[in-house]
Amino acid sequence: MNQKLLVLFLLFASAAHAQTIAPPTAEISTKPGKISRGSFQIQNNALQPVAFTAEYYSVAFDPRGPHYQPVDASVTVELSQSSGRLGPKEIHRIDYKISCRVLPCAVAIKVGMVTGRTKDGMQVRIILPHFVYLAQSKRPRQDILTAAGLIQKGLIQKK
Amino acid sequence: MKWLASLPVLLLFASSVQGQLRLDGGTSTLFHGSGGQATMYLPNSTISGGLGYHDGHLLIGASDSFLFDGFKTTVGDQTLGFSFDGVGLGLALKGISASRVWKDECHAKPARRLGAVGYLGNCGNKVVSAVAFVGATGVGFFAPFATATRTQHIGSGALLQFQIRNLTLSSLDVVEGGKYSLAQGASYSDRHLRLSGSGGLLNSQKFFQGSATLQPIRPWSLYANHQSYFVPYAAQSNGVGTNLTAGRFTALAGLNESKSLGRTITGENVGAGVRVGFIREESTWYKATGQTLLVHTITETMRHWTLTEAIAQATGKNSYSFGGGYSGNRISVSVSHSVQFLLNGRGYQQTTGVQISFRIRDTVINAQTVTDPFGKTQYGAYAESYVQTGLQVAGHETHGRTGKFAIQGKCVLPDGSPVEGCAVVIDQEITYSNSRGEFSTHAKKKGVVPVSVPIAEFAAPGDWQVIEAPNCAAPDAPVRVVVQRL
Repeated sequence: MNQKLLVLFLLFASAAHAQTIAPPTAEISTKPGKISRGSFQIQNNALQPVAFTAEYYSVAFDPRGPHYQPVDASVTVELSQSSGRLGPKEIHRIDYKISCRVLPCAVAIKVGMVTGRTKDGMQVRIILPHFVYLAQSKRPRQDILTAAGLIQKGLIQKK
Repeated sequence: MKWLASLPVLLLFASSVQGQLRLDGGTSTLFHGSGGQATMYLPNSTISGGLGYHDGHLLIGASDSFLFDGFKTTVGDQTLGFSFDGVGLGLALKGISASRVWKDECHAKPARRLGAVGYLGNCGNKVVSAVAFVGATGVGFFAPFATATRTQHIGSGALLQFQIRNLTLSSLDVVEGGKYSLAQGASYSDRHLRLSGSGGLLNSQKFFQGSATLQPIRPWSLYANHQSYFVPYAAQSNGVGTNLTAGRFTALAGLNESKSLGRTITGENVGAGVRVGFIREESTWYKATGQTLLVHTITETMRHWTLTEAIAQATGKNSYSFGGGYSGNRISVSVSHSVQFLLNGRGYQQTTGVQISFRIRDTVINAQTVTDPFGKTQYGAYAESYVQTGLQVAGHETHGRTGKFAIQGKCVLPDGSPVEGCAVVIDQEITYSNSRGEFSTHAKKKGVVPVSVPIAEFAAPGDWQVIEAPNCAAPDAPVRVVVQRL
């Protein structure tokens, strides 16, 4: 019997974006002063290596959106890595520890990746943020954004 | 007799060509062969060449992909097909194919209103792609590390895909050696429903496979699937089931059916689980071929570690198994146990899988075992490496030091202004300065470590020279690097 090989394979579709961050947000239910741990991944889908830096900021929300400022003394942030090199097709995980003496608080970890340079000095840099929402409630992100007037309570779209 | 026909290196005068070179090599019993491949990504084309040993045959494959008059053209060994959620069909070809994609472009027009100029766009969501091909078709060797085709017949055909919003339709039509393959596929995906299926004629034999997942509410999902197999013998599998998650509690139930070698085997399973902190407990009851199996699994998940303990009760006897894994940026290892419904008439069986992966600079090495639907344990090992050709190669590793002793510093201009993108190598670990000019790393020992400033690896734009930089650094002694742009 002439057997044919049935090829079942997964097509590896290339990502729409060359560099990505996941997840873009994290919610942590915690207590004031307690150290909370988390992590996120940055991915380089390109064939060239990229250099990356990670910086953290406190985030204040108002009806116009987020506003970034240096962390004050009540917020402590520690990153496992603040910079490095992402190889081609590499996925890299960055761990962090955050402690807020006053809750709720929001921290943004901005990862900047240089994706290209020209000889005349022009540089292409992508900045991808990872937002961390900390509060004592069960839904820190909803509470922080509702208090800022960015969303109405009960209207958050479920994922 | 198997032998490794690995292709160590296929250098293509890399230093004189600007592009990226990808090298792959490996061996796998799942793919019945070994091989290696080199792929060169050039600005206007992609060239690959490979060597494989598959089912006792030595195969040579090569291909060149380029843009020709708006059509993506591939000459040589290639695969054509479609797949949705693992359900699909593929074709091995040694010939020529041309493809093109048409997208419905946005038609924007200015809005007539005061204030900020706005645009009312009318964007369609239609995508149409077509691939036409002609050449020699046959048995394909498609592994993550090599691609080659063992040609058997002359054939031609077309692959058409139409996508609108959440619906994708595909049609693969091939005529080869007097036989027809007419495979049609469709998939639909929205927030609550995912459907995918393909069917038709494969070498004049009927086949159908499909899957459906319904999630009416977030915690609850139902699924159903049907799969057809032809190798090593004809078999079909069917499954339906449901999953429910309520807070820290989970529940699942399912029915399975396999048809092979003239036998029909059915199986059922019911389970429940609970999560408390980092510990999760799950108990699942399985029944098939008149036998029952009860498995209790406890899993502890910490940041990088996972530990698993399982107790299986069957025919009055207990058996114990342990598993776990470590996942880091440089290395990942896991040993896992699971229960699989096999198509060889044995119903539910416990299977063990081992997976190891590690990265050395731009080279990734993977090895893993997998139990196929017929109960046979297969293994595979392969390596993938990227070489930047014609460009400066940044060869320093960076994996996130876990040492206790922080070494920090600042990169500035002669006037003290911070410089973002300075590359500083501290004890063979490359770091980059941020927008405040600051950089840091962690050393495992409290001692002096070497420091260098490779200008060639700066992420900052332009050309630079180092004005001042130390040769060594120590924890709690800030490093100061002064650079100047030329």
